[in-house]
Amino acid sequence: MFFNVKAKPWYIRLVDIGEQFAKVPLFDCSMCGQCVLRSTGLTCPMRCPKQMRNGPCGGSMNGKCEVFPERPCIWNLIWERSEMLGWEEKLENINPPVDWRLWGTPSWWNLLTGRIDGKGHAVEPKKQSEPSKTNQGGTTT
Amino acid sequence: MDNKASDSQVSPVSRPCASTLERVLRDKKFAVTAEIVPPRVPNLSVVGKKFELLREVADAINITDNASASVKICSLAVCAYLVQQGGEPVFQVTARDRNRLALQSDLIGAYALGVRNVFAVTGDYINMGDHPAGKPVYDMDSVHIIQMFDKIRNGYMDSGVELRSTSKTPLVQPNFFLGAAANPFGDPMPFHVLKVAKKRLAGADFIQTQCTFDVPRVREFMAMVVDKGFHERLHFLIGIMPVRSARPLEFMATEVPGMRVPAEAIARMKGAQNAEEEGIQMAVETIQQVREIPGVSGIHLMTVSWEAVVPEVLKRAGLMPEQRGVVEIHAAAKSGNAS
Repeated sequence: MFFNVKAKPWYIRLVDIGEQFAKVPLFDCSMCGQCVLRSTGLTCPMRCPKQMRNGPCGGSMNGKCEVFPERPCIWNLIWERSEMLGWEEKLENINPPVDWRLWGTPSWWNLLTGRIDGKGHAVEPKKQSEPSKTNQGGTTT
Repeated sequence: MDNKASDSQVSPVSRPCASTLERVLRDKKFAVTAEIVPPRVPNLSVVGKKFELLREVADAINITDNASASVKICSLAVCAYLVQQGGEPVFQVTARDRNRLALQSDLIGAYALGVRNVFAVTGDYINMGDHPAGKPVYDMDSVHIIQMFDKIRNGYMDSGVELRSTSKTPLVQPNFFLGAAANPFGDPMPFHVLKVAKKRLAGADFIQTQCTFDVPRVREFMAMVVDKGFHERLHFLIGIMPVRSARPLEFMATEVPGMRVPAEAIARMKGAQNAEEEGIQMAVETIQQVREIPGVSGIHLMTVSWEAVVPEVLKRAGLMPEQRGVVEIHAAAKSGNAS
């Protein structure tokens, strides 16, 4: 925790805490930094063990996850909730691959700074002389 | 790029034919692909024997990539070996073991070795195999891999870097036939059809499905596909698996994710006098039913380690090369002018 405080400037840390406070209990958020909740029926696809961002894998049956059969298939939930919310059309978008430079950073900050677009898709950062501060989230290497 | 899966018009295929398999499918012949699971022992003589059984009857042979997350000889090595032997491999790649750098370098490496068919899947999860403690990669999902490979076909890496050796040399556009997987047995079915739509939009050319024991389900799936018109741009090869006894069926019904095995099939195999004969008969019947389904352009035979049955199944189903009218295409490929 204290390491993180040092790794990110205080204002980003503040956004980070706010987002974690809201999203972790509600959506089991893993702070991917490029939130696509608004196109996936308010259900986080990063909870899928394969971290699929474009729909269920071939093992999704009877609403259960193939990897952990005691868990629901998250993409089955996304389907049900999207139907409930009338957001089926949003499922037709191809979500791009995860930009791992954003892993562990707050989406809200990335949205504010234009690092992700309104759909939660990563936007290539403009070339700068010094690396962007939001890119210093604790990506595991 | 408009990235709505349902309403965008995918541009018609303008690139030249990349492989024998593509030639067969473009000529509207019924395609047959088989599968070889590479051995764990570092020796390719077993592959050679299996290949001899399949080379005359199948249009292309899929080489699995660490199937069921268990370590085997790498798919690329076996593909290169088949090319040397004059065969037509389909290089399977999974997202489980490779990040986007490895996926791309393996693809261009395979192309350099003469491989012209690629099949991309997300891959079984690592805890199903022999190294459950390993770190699964999943840098991308299957839709992303297809999108990335399609970009490479146009001469660009995923990052936008051009495929050319120096700024003065022309752009290289490796031409290959790009496949993807679909599972008609997964839930919810409309979502799996939507995923096919996404893969089609991403640039896939053909689809190979999970193995079929439940034909009505495939019929339902293909009806949805045909209804949306996806079969016009994608070639569907339906997975078929001949079994030797009831045991693998029971195993698949309970242990293998994404498979639907009806109880009648298990009962039929259990009650059979000659289980091998019954297994062949069942596969032949499935093929005959699947052939009648609109939108189906071929079959994909998954035999696990029973490759010897493939010629027999094809003979009984009336799908030998001369019956399918692909002898000339195969001959042309051997003399080196597939496209």
